[in-house]
Amino acid sequence: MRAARVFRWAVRIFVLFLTLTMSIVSFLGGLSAVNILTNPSNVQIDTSSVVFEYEPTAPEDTNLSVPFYINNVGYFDLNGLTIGIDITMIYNTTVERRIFNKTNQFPDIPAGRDLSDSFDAFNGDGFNLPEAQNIAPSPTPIFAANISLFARYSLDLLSFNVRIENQTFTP
Amino acid sequence: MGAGKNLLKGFIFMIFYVGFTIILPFLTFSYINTLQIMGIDFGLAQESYDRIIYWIVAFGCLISGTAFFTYSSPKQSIRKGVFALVQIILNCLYLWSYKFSGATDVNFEIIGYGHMTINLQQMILVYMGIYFLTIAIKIYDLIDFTINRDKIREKRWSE
Repeated sequence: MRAARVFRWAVRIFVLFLTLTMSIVSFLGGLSAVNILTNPSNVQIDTSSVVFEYEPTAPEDTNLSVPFYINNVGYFDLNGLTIGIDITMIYNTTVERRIFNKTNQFPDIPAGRDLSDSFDAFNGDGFNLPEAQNIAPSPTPIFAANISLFARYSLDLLSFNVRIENQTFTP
Repeated sequence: MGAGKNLLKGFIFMIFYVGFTIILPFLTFSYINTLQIMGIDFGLAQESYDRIIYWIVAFGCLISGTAFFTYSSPKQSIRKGVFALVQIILNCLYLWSYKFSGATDVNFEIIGYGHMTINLQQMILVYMGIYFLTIAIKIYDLIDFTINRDKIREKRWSE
């Protein structure tokens, strides 16, 4: 067999190996998404434990804590988990003001492991509240939150960004 | 191998490529178009779904057609080399079509809540790297088939 032919076959086998590896990574990535997302207990936000202590007269005492749980039952590590929350306050019926904007990074979650953590902003961290005397007591202010979640998966070959918008709540 | 067998081989590979480049992606995008996760409906924007399907079908037809000519051509022929190279270049365009059809940034609407974006650009770029190596092999094959044309013909006739 000619040396050129051996070289050609070696390159072909190498390319085949790369293609098969990528196909397996793509397939396992899809299977992981199905494994994680089809079971609601794998991604949980304990709404009963969410803390939002709003103190217009003492902004430094305003606190936010959102506990969450993610169980990575997939085949790859979940990397670069970043959660951002911004809150808009609607007061005096028509005035809208963004009172909170913060992004927190969380540890990577290896395959088969879980993470129980919380998004915290204590002692006014990230808050920009209006002056208390500018807020009419009635009607009660309304709060609307935008939540974004970013992470990388499948050996960082894909990334996803989830954005939950305009979820209104009261303290 | 006789002409009949070559045609059959070309037809079988064409069917394989139709399945792999048109039917499988079509079914995948149709499935995720009406996805429900944890009781929440997900949906692709109709405009982006139509655009993705259009490019997948357009390039899928071209690749499948070229696959027929590649695999029905005689072994080590210049025709086979040319069609194999064209097929790989079309495969690159097919992958790239995922980018300009918007399929590398798959946007889902989480109905009533917001939206989700999955970015597949890195994965597509890695595939493009692998295809670059394949193009190099196909160009080498084509040059080899052209330079050694007489030897290959002699060998084919003596079989």
